[in-house]
Amino acid sequence: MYLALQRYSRPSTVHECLELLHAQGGRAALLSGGTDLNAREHEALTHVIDLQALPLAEVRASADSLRLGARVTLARLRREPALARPELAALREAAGAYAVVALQNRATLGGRIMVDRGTEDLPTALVALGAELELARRVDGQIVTEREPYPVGQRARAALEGALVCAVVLPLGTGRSALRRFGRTAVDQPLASVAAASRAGAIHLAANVQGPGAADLRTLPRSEALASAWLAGRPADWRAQARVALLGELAACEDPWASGDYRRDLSATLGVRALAAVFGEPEIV
Amino acid sequence: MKIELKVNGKDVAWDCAPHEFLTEALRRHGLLGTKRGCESGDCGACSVLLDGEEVPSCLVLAAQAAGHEVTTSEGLGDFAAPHPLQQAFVDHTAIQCGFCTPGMVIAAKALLDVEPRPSEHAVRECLAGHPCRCTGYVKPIQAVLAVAATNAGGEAR
Ligand SMILES: Cc1cc2nc3c(=O)[nH]c(=O)nc-3n(C[C@H](O)[C@H](O)[C@H](O)COP(=O)(O)OP(=O)(O)OC[C@H]3O[C@@H](n4cnc5c(N)ncnc54)[C@H](O)[C@@H]3O)c2cc1C
Ligand code: FES
Ligand code: FES
Repeated sequence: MYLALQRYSRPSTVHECLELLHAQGGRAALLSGGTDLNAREHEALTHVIDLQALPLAEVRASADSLRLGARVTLARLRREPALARPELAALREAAGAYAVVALQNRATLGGRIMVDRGTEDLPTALVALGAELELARRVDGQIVTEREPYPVGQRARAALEGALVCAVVLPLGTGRSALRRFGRTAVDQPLASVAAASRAGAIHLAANVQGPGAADLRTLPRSEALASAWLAGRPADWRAQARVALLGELAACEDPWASGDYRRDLSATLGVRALAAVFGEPEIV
Repeated sequence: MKIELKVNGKDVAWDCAPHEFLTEALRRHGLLGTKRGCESGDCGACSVLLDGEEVPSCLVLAAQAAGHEVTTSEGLGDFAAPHPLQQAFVDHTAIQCGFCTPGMVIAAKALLDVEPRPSEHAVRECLAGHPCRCTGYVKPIQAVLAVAATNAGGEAR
């Protein structure tokens, strides 16, 4: 419940939005779909700044990239024709795994990115797909717009504080991608999810919930290098080799929902399946 | 603050506090079909259509709805002239206590508007965010499928 909220604003420019945010210090927050901010941790806020009037809901594809505005909803990601490409399958799968229809209709990419706790599907897919973020910040009274790699790890995510996420930019080419996840029920957050993508002659992998003792999102460079060498041709036992590589790179992370060993084993299985989907091979043999 | 929006087809201008949620604003104006349940996005009892899409009104500030069109279960039909979905829920005994029913009907309306002949899977997915303690789900699914069966590819209503 909002206990201190006195002001609601709906700015129509990025400049006005960041000025309002700056003027209120830590007691103001940006509001997008509201499925997180309107549900929790808002008791002390005095001002919410609604992003709905900003031009951030556009989807724009060019020959080599796809730009998704930060206000694009997860429901739109599921049905957006520009995403109907094998290389973006991981993103569609991640959006489809999200809770229920009414929430998908409200939840936005920008909100999902800012409340990334390292345990969700969508950031896993974005990292494997090589996403970059278009960010606007207020620096010395000026609005500065930059493009940065998707932040991996808690420290990189903390650096997003105070920024407005304007868009997610994905490189386009001719590869394939897949996200494989497992949650206890359709609406639970996943116990593990792994995304794989082939792009520019290499394999890219990302996994969530694997940090030593803490949930986090990470890339898997040694497994990536091994799998990239298999793009042209694979040994008969590639699944077994991939599994060993993944197990060696995934730390065991335990929480009340799953033991560390179970989760690491599950992630390796999901990783092999995601790779099989990218290689165009059967996932279960 | 004053907000202007369209509710059930009528233009309205309502006074509301910045922290007031759409559920409360609707109920304060007599639209009690929109239920107050979990107030955390989990139960679907507060679902309304916002510009034609199902949303949880407990997670939408009333101010966020300004400039938009809201439809509640009262906007679909009433006792004298129920919407085919409302009638189907009655005919299929898909209502017991009725607490979840307005949210389910709103969700089904949103689905049939974009997919007049949905599969059973699509109906199940659409009702998935609407826990019901009474009916066991089979009857609500049958009610929605019965209305869909009368659609020849057009809108339910
Ligand atoms: C019942 C329920 C079920 C849920 N299930 C899932 C699930 O299955 N999977 C899942 O991933 N999440 C789930 N969530 C969490 C939530 O829906 C997501 O985190 C969602 O993507 C948040 O997006 P939003 O647009 O609603 O963000 P908001 O609630 O509007 O904002 C969230 C945070 O992000 C900041 N923010 C928003 N947009 C921007 C921007 N463009 N730039 C900078 N900061 C911004 C806000 O200031 C705020 O701090 C669930 C939430 C609820 C209530
Ligand atoms: S009261 Fe809104 S979802 Fe439960
Ligand atoms: S009819 Fe009672 S909760 Fe659904």
